Amino acid sequence: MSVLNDMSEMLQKGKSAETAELVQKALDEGMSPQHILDNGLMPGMDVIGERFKNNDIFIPEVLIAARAMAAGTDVLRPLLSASDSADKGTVVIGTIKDDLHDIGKNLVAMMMESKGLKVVNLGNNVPPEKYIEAAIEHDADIIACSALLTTTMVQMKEVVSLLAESSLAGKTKVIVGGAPVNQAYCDSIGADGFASDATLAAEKALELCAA
Amino acid sequence: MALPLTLPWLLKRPLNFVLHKRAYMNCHSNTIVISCEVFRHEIELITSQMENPPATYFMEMGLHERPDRLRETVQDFVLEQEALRPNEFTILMAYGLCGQGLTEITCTRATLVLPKVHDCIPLLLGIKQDEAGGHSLNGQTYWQSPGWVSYAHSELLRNKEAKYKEYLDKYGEDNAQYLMEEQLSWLQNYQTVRLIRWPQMTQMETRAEKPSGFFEDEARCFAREAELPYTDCVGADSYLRALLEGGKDPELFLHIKPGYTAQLNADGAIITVELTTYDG
Repeated sequence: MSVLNDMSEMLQKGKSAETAELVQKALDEGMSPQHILDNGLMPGMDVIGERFKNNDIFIPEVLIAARAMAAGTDVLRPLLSASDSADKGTVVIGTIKDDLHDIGKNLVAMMMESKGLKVVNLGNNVPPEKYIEAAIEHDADIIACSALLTTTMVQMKEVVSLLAESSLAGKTKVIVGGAPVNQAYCDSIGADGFASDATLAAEKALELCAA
Repeated sequence: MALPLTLPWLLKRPLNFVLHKRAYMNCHSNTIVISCEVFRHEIELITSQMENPPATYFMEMGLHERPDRLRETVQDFVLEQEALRPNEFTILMAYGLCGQGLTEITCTRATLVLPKVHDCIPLLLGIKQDEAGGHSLNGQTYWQSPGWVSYAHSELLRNKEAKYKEYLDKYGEDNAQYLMEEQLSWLQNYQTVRLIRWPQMTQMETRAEKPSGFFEDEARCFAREAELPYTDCVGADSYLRALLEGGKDPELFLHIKPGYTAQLNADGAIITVELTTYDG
């Protein structure tokens, strides 16, 4: 089995140290950083995303796999050019104001990173104007808003409104998610996309970046 | 006669609900109650003091974490009850929007009465939804109540050692530590664990065959495990009592007729909409 297959296997098992060692081994064998990312780490995370989407595995397995992915990309990051990591797009992500739930949002951020997106994680309790400021600062393609409460998700509408009045209007897209959020609510506030889980959120972000 | 007819539904969803025994005695009443189990102590206390209490059906607590599953459970219940009853009747719903689990519920013969609140906290505090914000410290209050103490799924927090051992066996020491930290990190965002204390709490403990002070002791224990300060505040039975007495006040309750459903609009208002215009 090749080092890339081994790397994917270790990542899927959440073996961070082993994944990082195999990334280094692949580099030592002369593979390019981008080749290792595209053919070793990302395929492993794709399997995890698919299994999670199908309820075949659950949050703990995704968390440790994403952690192994991060260990592998940490080895590669100094070697990847800045243009490589920003190629697929930049996402500003956060949990909306007055909402402190961020396990799911962090999972989405990890999934997006594993798809090659640059992610700026603003944390939780993020006021609508902060999303816009961060999006302008990082020239973001996507603003991703998460909420776990119906009392807080209504503030997502303000993000959409503020974006429409900003210099990023027409360029940056808004995607929304979280347990109480659905497509109907996304449509009612004029957001650009909704995803029901972390895997789909990453796919939706990629799709909107490529559009 | 109701028991055999209800059995297929019972078998289909064995984990989601617990039938109140009085339900069988009142199956021909024109008003019934469906409630999250979080309200069991409070509702049993109030109905015990009513002359003609409505039949009450309790559903498993925690379904709001999967709103689609909550919606499916409640919708199945509504359909089942409509199939059992030939005439018009009312279902009083001891729920809030609960993560949108209560939106999009429909009925064909029943009238659904739904409190205009987002979750159980205003119902336990006895206040309107727009008064609730000031009680929550901007969301940094982790609420407790007799129902939260008795029925909430706090598996990870209450069984830290067992869960760590499970992760250790499955994923190794490094990942086990990481998973515990990661999955308990949300608690750091809270300022306090706060027990909602109705004046009738001792009566609820007696009815539940618990010693006096049991609910407070349990809430304090939860606060210790969460490493947060314990506080409490006074709740009131007014909102739940108003529901159980028919939910007539339109400021407090939606009345969802056949052909309509509940919706959270873009401005955050809880409203009824006609199904023909509903765009969900």
